[in-house]
Amino acid sequence: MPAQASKSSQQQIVIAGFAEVGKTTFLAALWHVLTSKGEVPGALTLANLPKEAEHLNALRDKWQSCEKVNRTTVSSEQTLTLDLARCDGVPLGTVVLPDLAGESFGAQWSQRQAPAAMAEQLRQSVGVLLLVHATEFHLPERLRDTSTLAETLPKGSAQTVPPQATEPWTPAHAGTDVQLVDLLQCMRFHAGERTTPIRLALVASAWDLVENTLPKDWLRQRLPLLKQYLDANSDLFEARLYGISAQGGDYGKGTDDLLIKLTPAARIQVIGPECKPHDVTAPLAWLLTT
Amino acid sequence: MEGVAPASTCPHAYATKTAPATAPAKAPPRSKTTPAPKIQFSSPISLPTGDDLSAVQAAELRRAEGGVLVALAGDQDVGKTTLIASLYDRFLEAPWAGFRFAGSETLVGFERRLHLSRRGSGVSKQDTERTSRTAPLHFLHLRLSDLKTGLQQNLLLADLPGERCRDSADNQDICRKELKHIRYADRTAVCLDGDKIIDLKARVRARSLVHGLLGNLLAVGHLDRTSAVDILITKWDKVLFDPKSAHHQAFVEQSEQMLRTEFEAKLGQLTFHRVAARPDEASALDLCHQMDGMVSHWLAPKPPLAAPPLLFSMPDDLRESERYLYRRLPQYVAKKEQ
Repeated sequence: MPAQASKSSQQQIVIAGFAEVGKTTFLAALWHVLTSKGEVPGALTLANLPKEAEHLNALRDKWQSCEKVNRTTVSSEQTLTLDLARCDGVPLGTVVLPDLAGESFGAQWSQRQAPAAMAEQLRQSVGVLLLVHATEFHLPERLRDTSTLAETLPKGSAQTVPPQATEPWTPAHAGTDVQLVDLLQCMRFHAGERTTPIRLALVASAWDLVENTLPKDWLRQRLPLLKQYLDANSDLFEARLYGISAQGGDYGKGTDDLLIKLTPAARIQVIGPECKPHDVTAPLAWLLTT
Repeated sequence: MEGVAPASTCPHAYATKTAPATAPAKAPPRSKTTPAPKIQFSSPISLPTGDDLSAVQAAELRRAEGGVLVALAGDQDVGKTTLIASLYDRFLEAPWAGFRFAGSETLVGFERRLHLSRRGSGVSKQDTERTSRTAPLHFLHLRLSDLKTGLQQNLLLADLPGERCRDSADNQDICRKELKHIRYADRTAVCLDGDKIIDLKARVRARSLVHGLLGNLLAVGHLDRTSAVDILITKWDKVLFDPKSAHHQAFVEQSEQMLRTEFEAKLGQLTFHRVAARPDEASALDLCHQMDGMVSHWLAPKPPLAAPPLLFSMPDDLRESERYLYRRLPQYVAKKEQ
């Protein structure tokens, strides 16, 4: 756990990511850990309970029962305000977490527009927690690569490409790493004249689906353009990389193995710098430290 | 900030037209290319388009951050657009040519150009959409970071329809008007089509076009003794894998020698590169074959600017500003002295 907490009384962190990358599931697990003191040693806690926690409690209840949480849509976006403290009780101040829909982030690429409120939130935030699904993303296939593969197959087994009409280009054809780089470039655009780097906790969600790989190797292999961009722009983004499974496993394959664990937080898998195995609050703790 | 509407602090400042109250729990497919429904924001901020830069935008970027401007020229279908798009495509895999990708103001422009080389386009053979004859001069941008030093450089690539380059090889007035951006470029890359070189009927004409283009660029003053020019023999895979490859390579060597003899002394630098931006699927060549050296060459630190040789005798009683004009703007002085 980093030693020094930020002195500011109110700090804002934006949880960013495209649609269906697990932002809401992350929030549900986070709320569970924050409200279950001691279940994850060293994790952040709540300094004060918020006056209204119906939304978060509903998310947490579903998460505790291993049920899919409803993802946030543009019409159901809201801002969560939490008074956080370190595990030793030292208050970190009020943390504002806008719960934004993935579509609001995706529209920056596809429509070249951003909601003004989101731009303002990004401008005021001390850091960004950016979620990327560890296995489900779009990487366009080059025809030359697939042709080479077909030619290496034994005769008769090569798959023929059925004749298809040409599809006009749309922004959705671009790869996820290109869209993520664009998202980060847009963040710097929103940041305006800011000269200090933006703290970025890059979280690969659904990490239980990744086998025997470190997050840094995963990033290099799966999203090489994003990796290059972050390496080249350490003056714009101070980045840390985490692999997190907030859900703990695939509900479709049965939930008994998850539910049987004595503490729900034990389902959570976290890998990253300066964090304990189930501490889903670790990225936030880092973003909030000076 | 230019083009940015005042930000609203209202957290409920936007609403959706079509977004459902709850989304299906099913995870998205791996290759999701279905366009998302358009969201209507009530107070949106406009973002940079990410598409090609205009001449004005490119100049602004260059003025603000510096960078290397490479003007590509050559006949239609010579592969200018493919070359530009493939440079970006190469960085989608990994760092390359001693550089890593550090950003781009034209991600949308690059992605659009790569569409026909990808399976998602629905075509069965890789291709590049031709630049429209009426397309204005446009620029693609890459920000690259040196792997050793971490220093970043902008690379601006100017593309122009091939028809206008061909017309410029025939007509000096067109050359003066259509290719005036070359005057401000750090380098000019003139392309000679490898596909034409293996066509015995077309190869001399293709070489003549390069010869005519360079001649006219020099005649109208867009190029001079300080200019750096690269001759790119594009689609080099066609030359390499043709049954008469040795014969074609001899023609290329002869052409290089001919161009060297004619133009080397009239230019600051003349170099030749044999490249294949997107080699044929059947070849074992990598994307951007033999282009790493070319890119390193483009982005290499510039040698200190030597004082150009004087074209006129300089009076002794000149002020410093006038001496500068004599050295740097000989055309201006020549006009004045007439």
